[in-house]
Amino acid sequence: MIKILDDLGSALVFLNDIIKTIFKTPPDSKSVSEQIYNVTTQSLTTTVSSGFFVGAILSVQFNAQLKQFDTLSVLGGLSTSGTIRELGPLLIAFMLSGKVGAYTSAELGTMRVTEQIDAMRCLGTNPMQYLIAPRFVGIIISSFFLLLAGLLMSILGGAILATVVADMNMVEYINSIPTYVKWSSVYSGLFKCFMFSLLIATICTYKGYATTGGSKGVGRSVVATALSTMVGLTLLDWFTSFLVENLFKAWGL
Amino acid sequence: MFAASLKLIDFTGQKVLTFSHGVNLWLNYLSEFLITLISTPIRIKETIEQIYEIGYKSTFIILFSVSFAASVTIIEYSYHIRLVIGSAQLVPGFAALLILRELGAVITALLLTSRVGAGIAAEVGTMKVTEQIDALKLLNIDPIRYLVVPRFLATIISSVILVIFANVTCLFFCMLVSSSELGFSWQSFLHAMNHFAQFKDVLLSLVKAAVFGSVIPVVSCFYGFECKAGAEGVGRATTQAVVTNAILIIILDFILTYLFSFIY
Amino acid sequence: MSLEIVGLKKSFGTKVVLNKISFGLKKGEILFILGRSGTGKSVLLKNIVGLLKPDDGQIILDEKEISKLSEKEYFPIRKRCGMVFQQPALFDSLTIYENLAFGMRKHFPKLSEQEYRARAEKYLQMVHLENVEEKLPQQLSFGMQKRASLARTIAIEPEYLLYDEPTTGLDPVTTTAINQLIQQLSRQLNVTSVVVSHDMKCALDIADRIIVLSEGAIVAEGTPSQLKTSEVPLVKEFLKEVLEGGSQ
Repeated sequence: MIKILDDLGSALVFLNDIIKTIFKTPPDSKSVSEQIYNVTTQSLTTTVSSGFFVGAILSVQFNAQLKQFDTLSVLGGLSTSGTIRELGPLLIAFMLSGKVGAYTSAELGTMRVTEQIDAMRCLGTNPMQYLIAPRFVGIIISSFFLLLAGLLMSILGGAILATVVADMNMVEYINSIPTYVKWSSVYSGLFKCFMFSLLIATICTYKGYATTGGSKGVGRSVVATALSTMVGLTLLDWFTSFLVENLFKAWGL
Repeated sequence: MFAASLKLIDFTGQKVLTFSHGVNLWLNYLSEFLITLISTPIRIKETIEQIYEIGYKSTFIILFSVSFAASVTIIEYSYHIRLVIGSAQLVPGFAALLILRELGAVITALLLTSRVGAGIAAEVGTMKVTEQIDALKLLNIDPIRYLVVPRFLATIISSVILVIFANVTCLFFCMLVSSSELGFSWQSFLHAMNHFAQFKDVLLSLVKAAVFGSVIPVVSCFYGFECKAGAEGVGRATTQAVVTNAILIIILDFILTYLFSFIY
Repeated sequence: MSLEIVGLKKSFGTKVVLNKISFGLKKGEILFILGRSGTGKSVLLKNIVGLLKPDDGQIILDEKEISKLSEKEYFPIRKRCGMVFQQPALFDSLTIYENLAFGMRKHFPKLSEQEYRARAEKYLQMVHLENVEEKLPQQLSFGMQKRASLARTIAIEPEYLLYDEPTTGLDPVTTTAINQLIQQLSRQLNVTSVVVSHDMKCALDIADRIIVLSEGAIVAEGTPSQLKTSEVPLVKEFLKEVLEGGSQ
């Protein structure tokens, strides 16, 4: 337990360091865009296909539940809203955490244990500024857009499966979306996507940078990244849901 | 122009070769695994050790995470049902159905992917790069029988048991949240749930758990065995194991959900 | 210019790795620090360049205590004290030329791209590498990677060269080549070299002075000829290995 808190504390200190570095010496746009390009090209297929399946699964599930109430006309709205408000971001972020998170921590961990990071410091370059900051910013930006792309695909997946399992007309399905998907749900989904991107970026850079102990250590870092990101995502999901609900209540949305 | 098209043909050829090489590796590995699984006696002791490693040691973290996931689900569900149907009456039933049919199994499986799937890949990968796997072969010990089969059985058993626990935990937290936030008494929650959820939902969620549990160790051990030397190799093997497992689980979940939708 | 270590102490958890080590460096000499694996030799070097901070004691460079400096204040010191890592530690996404230019761009920001090119070529020649500028590290053999890494360190023109186990994991032929390089570079560039190693044979061949570490403390010190007559058990053990190796 104390170990977990210790780890959490170090991660927050690390996050603080990154943010300070970014504000003091903003990473140049070239290295950030390189990271965005890398992350996006690697993970686009994963996110888009998992988005499709998540939408499809939920559409089938909601259909099975609504069938007995003869309220199929609301299927489009309900499954879209359910997807973008909660399960979509969560499940697609799970995929991203595996792809982007694990990849980045493996990359940084390898650089750490092969002494590349030490060499960089010896050659007069601050690795926080040169390695971590561009990755951090790049991962946040690209994860956010990847999550959005995944969510859009999930709407499509839901619509296609609705025509298959519920014998619905696609137009009918899509028409019911605006009735039930409120702007507040969209904001809530976007907010979650952003928070999840932040979480993924922080954990993978932190765990990768803190790797010790040869190739075994790299394996350990990747496992720790994958696990703590996923657990962190469920906690953050809960936290943002409560936060969003109470905020929107307060603003009367 | 001619040179360019030759290059393209060459490039495509290379891609096809790597792909077919990969498929070949997979098929070899799978057939070897299946033959070993059915033809050799099970190593009970290792299997039990692995159940302890995989199942017991993941229990806390999984139940901890799913309890949060369950609390979110019921809050979100109450929002939606009110929006669509205009009453909160159906919330417990619907939420219970979603948890039993979908979330309990899939979230547990995804967490197992990172905790167990990545763990196995890193472990086997490290054994590979430190030549422990070769040492096993020299001692005439079949690494598939010794490493993969016990992990395979252990993960299936652990996954099923964990999903039972996860479902119970989820429903318990749903009940807690719905009594504190939505004003359902525990009796009315259980009554509403009882009305919707059936025993077959529980059984089907266990089928899902078993399927997911069987995928994880097989995929992870494969990437572990294929691990290239050095720190980079272990990192890559672990990453690939996590990603492949997660995608397979989502796709399998879709297929199972679709098939089960005819029974629900 | 002078570098002096006074009462350096470093421990990880409860394990004391360096226990009050003190020694000085003479200009232009080659100092070998010998010891079994895990006796804190690499830790000692990393303390000097500020990759690790000592728990106690001082590192004095030109009458100035440097061990308490911040990362930023270490910048000029790392230019003066170049470190060659145990692993090649080349940046694997950059070409060999970019690897060499990486440090030069930081430490000689005023030079033009052609001058970087010329210098890179010069230093690569010094370590007997040619036509590798545009290759990626993975395309070179391990021994070549080690030499390229050495070229990267000398390209920032340090006054002190710190080698961390330069010959570990190399075959005998490459080991001899690297040792000759260390000797040749120290004369050619007029640098002071500190070599951390467990190879007594190399030390006897090229060192001006040898320090033997055991359990975090110095157990013997002297020139190669002095050490040959030493009565310290660990030194005798090391010498025995050399003699046996020679008779094979």
